[in-house]
Amino acid sequence: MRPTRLPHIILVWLVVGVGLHLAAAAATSTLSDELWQGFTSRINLQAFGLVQQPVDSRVNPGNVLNLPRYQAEVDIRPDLRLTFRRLEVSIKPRLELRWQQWEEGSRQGDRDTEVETFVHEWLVRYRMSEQLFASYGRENLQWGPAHLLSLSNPFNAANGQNNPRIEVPGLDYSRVVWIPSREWNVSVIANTDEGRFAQRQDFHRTYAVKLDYNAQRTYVSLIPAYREDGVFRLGFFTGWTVSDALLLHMEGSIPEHIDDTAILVGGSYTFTLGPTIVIEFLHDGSGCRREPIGRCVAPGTGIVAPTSGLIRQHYVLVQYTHTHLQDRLNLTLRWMHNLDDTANRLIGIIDYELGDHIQLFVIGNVNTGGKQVEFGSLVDYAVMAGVSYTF
Amino acid sequence: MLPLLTTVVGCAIMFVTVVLCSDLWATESTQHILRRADEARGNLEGITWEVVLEAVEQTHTTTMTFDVKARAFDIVVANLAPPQHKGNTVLMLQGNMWFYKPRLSKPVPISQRQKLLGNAAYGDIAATNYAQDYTATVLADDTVNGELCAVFDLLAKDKKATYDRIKYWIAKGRLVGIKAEYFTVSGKKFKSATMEYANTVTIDGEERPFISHIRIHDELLSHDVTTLTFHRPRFQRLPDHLFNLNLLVK
Repeated sequence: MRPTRLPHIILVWLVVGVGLHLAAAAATSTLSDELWQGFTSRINLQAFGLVQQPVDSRVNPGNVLNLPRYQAEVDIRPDLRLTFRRLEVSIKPRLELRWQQWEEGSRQGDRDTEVETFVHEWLVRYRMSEQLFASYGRENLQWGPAHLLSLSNPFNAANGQNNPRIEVPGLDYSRVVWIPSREWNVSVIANTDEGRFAQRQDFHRTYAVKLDYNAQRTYVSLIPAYREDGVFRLGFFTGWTVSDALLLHMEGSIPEHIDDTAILVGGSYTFTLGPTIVIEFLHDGSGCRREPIGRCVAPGTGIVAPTSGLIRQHYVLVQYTHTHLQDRLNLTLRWMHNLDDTANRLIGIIDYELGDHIQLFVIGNVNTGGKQVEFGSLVDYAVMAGVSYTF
Repeated sequence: MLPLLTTVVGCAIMFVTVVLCSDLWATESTQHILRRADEARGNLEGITWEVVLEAVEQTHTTTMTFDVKARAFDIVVANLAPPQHKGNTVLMLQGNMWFYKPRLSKPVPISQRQKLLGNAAYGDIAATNYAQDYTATVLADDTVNGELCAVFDLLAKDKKATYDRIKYWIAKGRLVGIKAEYFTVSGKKFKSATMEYANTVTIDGEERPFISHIRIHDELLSHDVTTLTFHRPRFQRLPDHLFNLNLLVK
């Protein structure tokens, strides 16, 4: 874990700030009411067990990535937010208690327990006028209509939809959002620090302008971005609400080297009885075509070079979602097909609501194609099962 | 001969004029009735209210509470309870809908057909715009719970409306919609609803009834009942930033 004092400083600052506000407010009940009414919280406790089968491959030789066979974890995830007049402050501190056991690689037979505390996200936002907002903080800043990957996002294309129980790490951003009209929005974004997104080996600040246009039943966004090491790219996404059931979308990025353009097209259809089918096709010109998959990554690092976050060039996603089955069961099935490797990743996400606070969940993940292909080169399968309690 | 011809032509012109005017008057009257009924279920400038949704399905009942901000046909719906759904938010802007929940790392686009809970669609808690979105045919008057109603067959002007066809009963005395039947494209009735107006609001200095309950009945499969209860409607101008996707996730 990357040592940082920043989260603790923020936490102390927040607690002191809120305490001072509350103390000051005690003198005037109106102010205290206003503060209390502006405070919201959502506290989630999550416990789960994970069993997975790491693969000994050129991507993960001798389990150099130290993937455990078994894992048990308890996560405490409070989301706290205070809105006070023009100011919004939010913070999401996290505590994770983790036990792991390894059956492969240099740590074979090892067991370990660790406690990790960190601030997942925090944000201070000031409303300068009804049209202008300025903010700074650590955010998992995501946008776009795609379900497979958010290609238009120059900061992090991975949107975490394969496993919604694992939080996507945030990066540090300063943002100014200008809303001149109902149709037009402009955001100026500076990514100032890699935050907890530690997969990047060499961080460079990135600056982007996000221009959004919302028309009746359609929307278009353009995101030109510049990275301080001299890389320029243009991200974009668009969507069309064709009918009350059918949506179409497209998302992509165009780098300076035009052959590396990545584009995703897709659509979703919702049936009368509730289920929704999503189909997406991805072409990533920067994807790797070398065989086997081990020649596409730096061995043992898991680093993926292409912009998309997936290694190869062509993918299909078919997703089936049915929520509120009997008002208790939520089901998502994802089938990702790698057209270059002709391999598959099957993901099932099941939530069962047990009363107002408790949710049981199972997330299963099976990869086919063996260790020579992308999907099979890290784990054969993984099953995560647990329980979540929300206050 | 000429005076007779002049008289006949004059009469014909008068007849056509009377017919056209009566048609125009009927259309204007229908539009007025539908618009008044729409005004009892939403507001163009902005309305904030709390909606409690109760779905009774077979042996169990599920209840959810939402904070709803609606401005014309743009809405933001934030889930307040139960705790495990707290923070789930739906934004509909210009007919495009997005859904965010704390465990999803980003808002995802959803269709208007997606269910809110039970038989209720997101379109059911938005304001209605039947006067503008539907072509109305006047049917024979009917009585609902002893109240004389004008009945309209509403056909969606395009595929963008939440429902393809609606049969709509509007109480003639109060000018509020009190019953509706919803049909699929193939003409099959798939749900029906009854509405109550126990809330009151002041529009143009006039105190008017405002929506308080909608009971939705599944007519196709289960005959389950979903009830929406609207509390504390507050008319207020709602600025653009409340309906902004860039500021939705906090």
